[in-house]
Amino acid sequence: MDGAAVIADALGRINRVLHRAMDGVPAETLNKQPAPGSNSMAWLAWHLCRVQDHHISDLLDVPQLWVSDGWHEKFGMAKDESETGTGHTLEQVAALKVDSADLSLGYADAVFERAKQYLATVTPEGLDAEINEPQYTPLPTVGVRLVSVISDNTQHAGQVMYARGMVQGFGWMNV
Amino acid sequence: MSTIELYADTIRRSDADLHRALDDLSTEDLRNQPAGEGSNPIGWLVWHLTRTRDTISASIAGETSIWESGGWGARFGLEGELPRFAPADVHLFDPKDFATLVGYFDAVAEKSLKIVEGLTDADMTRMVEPTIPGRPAQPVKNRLAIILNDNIQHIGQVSYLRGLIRGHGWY
Repeated sequence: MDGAAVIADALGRINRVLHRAMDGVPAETLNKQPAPGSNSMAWLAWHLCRVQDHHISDLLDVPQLWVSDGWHEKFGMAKDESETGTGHTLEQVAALKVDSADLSLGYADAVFERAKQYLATVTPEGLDAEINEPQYTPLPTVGVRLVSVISDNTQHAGQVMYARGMVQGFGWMNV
Repeated sequence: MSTIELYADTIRRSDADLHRALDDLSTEDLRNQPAGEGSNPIGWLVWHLTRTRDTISASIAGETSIWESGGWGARFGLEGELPRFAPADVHLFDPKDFATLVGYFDAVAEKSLKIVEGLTDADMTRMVEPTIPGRPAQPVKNRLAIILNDNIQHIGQVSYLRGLIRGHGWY
């Protein structure tokens, strides 16, 4: 099991957590902010997929699925690759709505599927390749970038699980 | 980046996020249940993720957990068989104070990183006995994957709760 396979495994677990927390859950539950100003399940899932799509596309040097496959339209948002949710205001957080879990999970499956295809091509040496981002010293490597995606995405997946408990009652996992 | 470095870097990076989320919290914050009755407070989440990492890394190394070897049971007032904290009684978990809770986490974080960094690629497929009776034995790589997934989800939950307590945009 090389490094790229470990990363693919971690992303697969994140995808399964999203399905477990969101499959068949009504849109109004997904869109509900569990507390004033807090991130909804829909916002959290969207944001983590945006981060994954952004970084994997960047490593592949191709347009993001967000714009190339029209996901921005399905979410009713602008065709803007820089829109990942980072720095959103309270109003922007509240404005993000999905019409069904299928939308959230459809985007999640699409970005994961492409990440898997990409990772199948990444060699151990490929993980050490430097990324040309001179604002960072030392330059980040492909491996470092992928580690950041796993850490970020797994944390947000955990937040989706917690938010579901808040809107639907704690202990839902053990039912 | 070797597979071992990848595990270690991911854990280290996420642990730094946890420290950021815990920075300057009071004991009251650790007990607070901003999500209401039955919800896991920050204190319980940190204890639980630390216990999980402690038992998994000890099982990989074939050693005693820090919980036992470091006398942490006595410090938390939880000696002997540990209670199962269901939603109805998770508020009964006592994190004691910041220094105790984070002290246990830091001790386990340091030890578990040493264990991970001491592994070789050949260790990845070595079978490890279950930490929970009745569960199947698993290869080391599956145990490490659980640390990565379970632990880091809980770290994200701590950040979310800090947001509920301290307000949006604390990070």
